[in-house]
Amino acid sequence: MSDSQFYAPQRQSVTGVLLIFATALYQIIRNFWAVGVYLLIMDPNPKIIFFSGMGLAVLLIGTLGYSILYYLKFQFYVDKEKSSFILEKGVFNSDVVNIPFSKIQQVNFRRNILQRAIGVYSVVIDTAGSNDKEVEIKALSKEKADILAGLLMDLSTQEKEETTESLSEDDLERPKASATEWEYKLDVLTLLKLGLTSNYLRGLSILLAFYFTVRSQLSYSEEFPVEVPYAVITEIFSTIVLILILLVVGMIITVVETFIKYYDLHILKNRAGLQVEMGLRNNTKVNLKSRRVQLLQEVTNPIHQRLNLYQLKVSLASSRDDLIKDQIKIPGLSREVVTKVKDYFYGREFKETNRILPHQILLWRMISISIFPLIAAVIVLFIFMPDVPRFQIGVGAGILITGIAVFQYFYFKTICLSVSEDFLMKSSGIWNRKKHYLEMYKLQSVSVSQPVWHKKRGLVNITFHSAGGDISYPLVYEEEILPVMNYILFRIESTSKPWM
Amino acid sequence: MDSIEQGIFNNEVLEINALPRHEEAELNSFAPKYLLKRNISTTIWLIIITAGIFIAYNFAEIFRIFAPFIAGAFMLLFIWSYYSNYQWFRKSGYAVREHDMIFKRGFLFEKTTVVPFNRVQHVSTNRGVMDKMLNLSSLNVFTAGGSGSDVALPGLLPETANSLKEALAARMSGHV
Repeated sequence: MSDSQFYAPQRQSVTGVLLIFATALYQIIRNFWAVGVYLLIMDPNPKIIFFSGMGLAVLLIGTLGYSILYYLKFQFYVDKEKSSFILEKGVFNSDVVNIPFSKIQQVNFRRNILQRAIGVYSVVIDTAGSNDKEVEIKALSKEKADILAGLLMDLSTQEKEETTESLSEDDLERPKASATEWEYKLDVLTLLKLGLTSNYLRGLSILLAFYFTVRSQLSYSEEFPVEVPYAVITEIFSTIVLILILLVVGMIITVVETFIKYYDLHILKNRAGLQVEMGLRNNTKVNLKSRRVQLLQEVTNPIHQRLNLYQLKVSLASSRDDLIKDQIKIPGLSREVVTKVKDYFYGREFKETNRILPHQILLWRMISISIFPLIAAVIVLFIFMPDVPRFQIGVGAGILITGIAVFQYFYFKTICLSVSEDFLMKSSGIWNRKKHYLEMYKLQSVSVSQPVWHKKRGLVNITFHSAGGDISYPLVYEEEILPVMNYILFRIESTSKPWM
Repeated sequence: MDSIEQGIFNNEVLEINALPRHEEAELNSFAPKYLLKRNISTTIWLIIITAGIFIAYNFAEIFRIFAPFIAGAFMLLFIWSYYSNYQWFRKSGYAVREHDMIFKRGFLFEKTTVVPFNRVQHVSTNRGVMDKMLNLSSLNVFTAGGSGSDVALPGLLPETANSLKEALAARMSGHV
């Protein structure tokens, strides 16, 4: 047997029929076992037994027929002319999948118990696409699986060598990897600062809990003035102590968590890329290559900013490990280190040439969405509970609504999309200030959407699809964003650089 | 590579205005039978709902009071469905440019996705039972950008779907 057998349409091993049959049967049983149980529990009327037996027989024969048809229809071959692997399948639905050799990342073997019993292998062809399950040949003999995998990997590497040159460039760099260009180490003090200032939400919630307990304690004493006030005071005191202990414990937990996750955080830049190592247990060790970076997120808040602590979140596309889209969080970086990392990833500074702001309608939408539950609650309260102090509630709600509106206004003011020659940057946030960086040529596709009612104003929503996730930006003028979109498409289509 | 990019760098203002505009590309509409397919599935639902209302009307006494309102509401819903099927068909379409593919769809929410060929990972064609009866086919284009960035063109003639797929496959592997 040789490679050439795969140039003509091939079927799976004949035993594959068994596999298909068993899988289909399993599906049916999983979906209809309840009916069977019901029939058994019902009185075993001979008529019912006869009909259900007949039904079962028909079902079995039908499934067998389906399995055979599925087996016959399932064909795959290598099309040299189109440089693709082609898979055809489906009885009622027919699918024809084309995978160009150059897009094949990996060919894997898999085996479950059933496949082991029958003595076949599952061959899974991975592309960077989202739907990798689609391309699985479930029953091939060991020999055939080996030949197919070898053939596909050969063709794929041949194709890649023909079309991309930067790959080999990259490989040349590897031997000189040892020379360190710069290094950064997160010291224990900074880590402590980070731990103490993270998770303030948990601290805040404990404080709130404290406030409400004390309040309920006090109202309790108001209602029963005969009670000995001393007891109430000791009770309040003990709650205070308890809350303080909880706060301290909460802080300690956060600090410990931070230490476990990020202890000995160490960034080393050499020619091979950015080596990041961190963690006490489950030591994380990654090599971040600028080519693999799909989306970069920079986060900070005023406290952290004052302490010169920034966090980076890097979304990668990696061709290893079944193409999991990894996201790596690196906290506790100083401004300078962040700049250095960005320099390495992007090679040039972010120079804004164009700034796009969302339309005011977004502000109104944000405000109305956030105050809607409050208004609904107040209305319900007024209708169904006539005894409530309406004036106080009205004033309280008014203050709250104003507060929310002011907050949303300032939040709205922070939303911004900056465009540079090569990048997009979306920033937002009052407290947690986030900046998302996207490199234009690495984007996968771009979508614009427009509800009919925004047509007159010429407003659209835009989504940038990257391999590290989507970035959406709402309610912008068509005449502002469409030239940017066309420019991005031009950047993607005119580059021959690989995006990962 | 740097020198090429430098060229783009300097020319930027001119470039942006001179770039081809995807929004001006002429769209191909889908096969008319696709409208028929959408209308058939709406009709199947119409039949099911009508049967349900009919049965409820005959077997549940209490239902009789509401029946006209519910029937009326569904009536409006179905009229709207047929209308929106028609509008969807009228407004949706696709275009294949030299370097990318444009897919526009939707009636109340219009959405346009542009997928550059050099970001396509694989393509497939798909035909369901109804597609086979009506002689239709759909083309799926997969990228690495998650499901939002994938594109599925429904309602093509099988010949069109196949030739599109072949054209795409050739461009993806960089031979054209």
